[in-house]
Amino acid sequence: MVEHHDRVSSTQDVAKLKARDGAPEGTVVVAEIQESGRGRLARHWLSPSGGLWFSIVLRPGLSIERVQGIVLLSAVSLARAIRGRTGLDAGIKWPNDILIGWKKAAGLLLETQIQDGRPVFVILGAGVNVNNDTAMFPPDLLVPPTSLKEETGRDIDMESLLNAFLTDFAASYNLLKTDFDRILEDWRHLSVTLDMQVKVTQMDKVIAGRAVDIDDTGALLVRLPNGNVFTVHAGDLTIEHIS
Amino acid sequence: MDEKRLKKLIEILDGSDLSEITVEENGVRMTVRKGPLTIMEPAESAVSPEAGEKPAHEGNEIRSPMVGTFFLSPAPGQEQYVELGDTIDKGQTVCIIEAMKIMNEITAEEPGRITKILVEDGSAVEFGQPLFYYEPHR
Repeated sequence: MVEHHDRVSSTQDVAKLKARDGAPEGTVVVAEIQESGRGRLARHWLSPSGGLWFSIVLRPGLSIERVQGIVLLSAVSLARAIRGRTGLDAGIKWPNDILIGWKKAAGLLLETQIQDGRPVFVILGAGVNVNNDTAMFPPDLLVPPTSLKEETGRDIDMESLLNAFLTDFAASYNLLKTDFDRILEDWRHLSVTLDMQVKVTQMDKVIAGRAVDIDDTGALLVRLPNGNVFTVHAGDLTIEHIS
Repeated sequence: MDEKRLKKLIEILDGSDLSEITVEENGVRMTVRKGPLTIMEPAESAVSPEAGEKPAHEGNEIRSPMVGTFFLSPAPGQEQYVELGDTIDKGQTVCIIEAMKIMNEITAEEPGRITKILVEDGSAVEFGQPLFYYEPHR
């Protein structure tokens, strides 16, 4: 069930309220404009008309550890949908940003509600810069932005992009229960993070080294200059690349 | 503390960003640090012969269901989900724990009143670590 709105505060907030009221798994909230779209830690996510802004209610009935797999799975589905609809070389920056040519074209946000140690529901939010102009975005973003239109030079049909994502995601969703290794493999294949020099900024420290792999929870393994491997569960990641 | 639990502790430490974990149980405090050092020492607070007995003020605990980063509010600078002395309802969000870029809202399992906030905003928490003390309403 897909619900279209002209203007909302954020699709994430709308979907969360619906989930609290018992909305079933698969409820999708799409908005033309988000007035206060947000990313991680409520960071502002500019959501003007022309972008694809949506959230999905999920009730996977899985443990917290397995739910973390949705972070990887959703990034894989979104990268594949963008590749399929545009032909662009969309890749994944750990854990779930979608980059095209080292610029950020899309981001994903997951929020859960935990009751008695288990997730009651998961809200998966996505923001894709499709036909919107990212020249108006603030210049101080961690990763410079781009849009699919800016990369292809043409308008991209948002409805068919959303459908491509939903179809891929629905087909892959069962892998959470049946073949988690496959999700990890698909993620590795689409990653633009592995084998790169990375810097992870956490609350109290910075970790710099080579991203070597993800472990079976999706955490990033970074080999430090002294040869030790550090497991990264959180933080802001930058990839050092030659632009 | 038996060998199995020690191994579990080392496993948790290995899989985390932390450099050390301290667990106190039945008057024995164990610290596991990254590196070759493991120390077992009598806990200074082990004055009560009643093993596991808690001081009366502590009340019940809300524990962390995962390894992650603890946040008292939805975003830095925003209003906290709960303050000291607040009444909480079953199902009410009391904090967020971020793990693998998922923002997990932790909810109260029963109604009560927050009597202590045990963890500082933005710090790393372990699986099972107490986050709040509360007095249950019965």
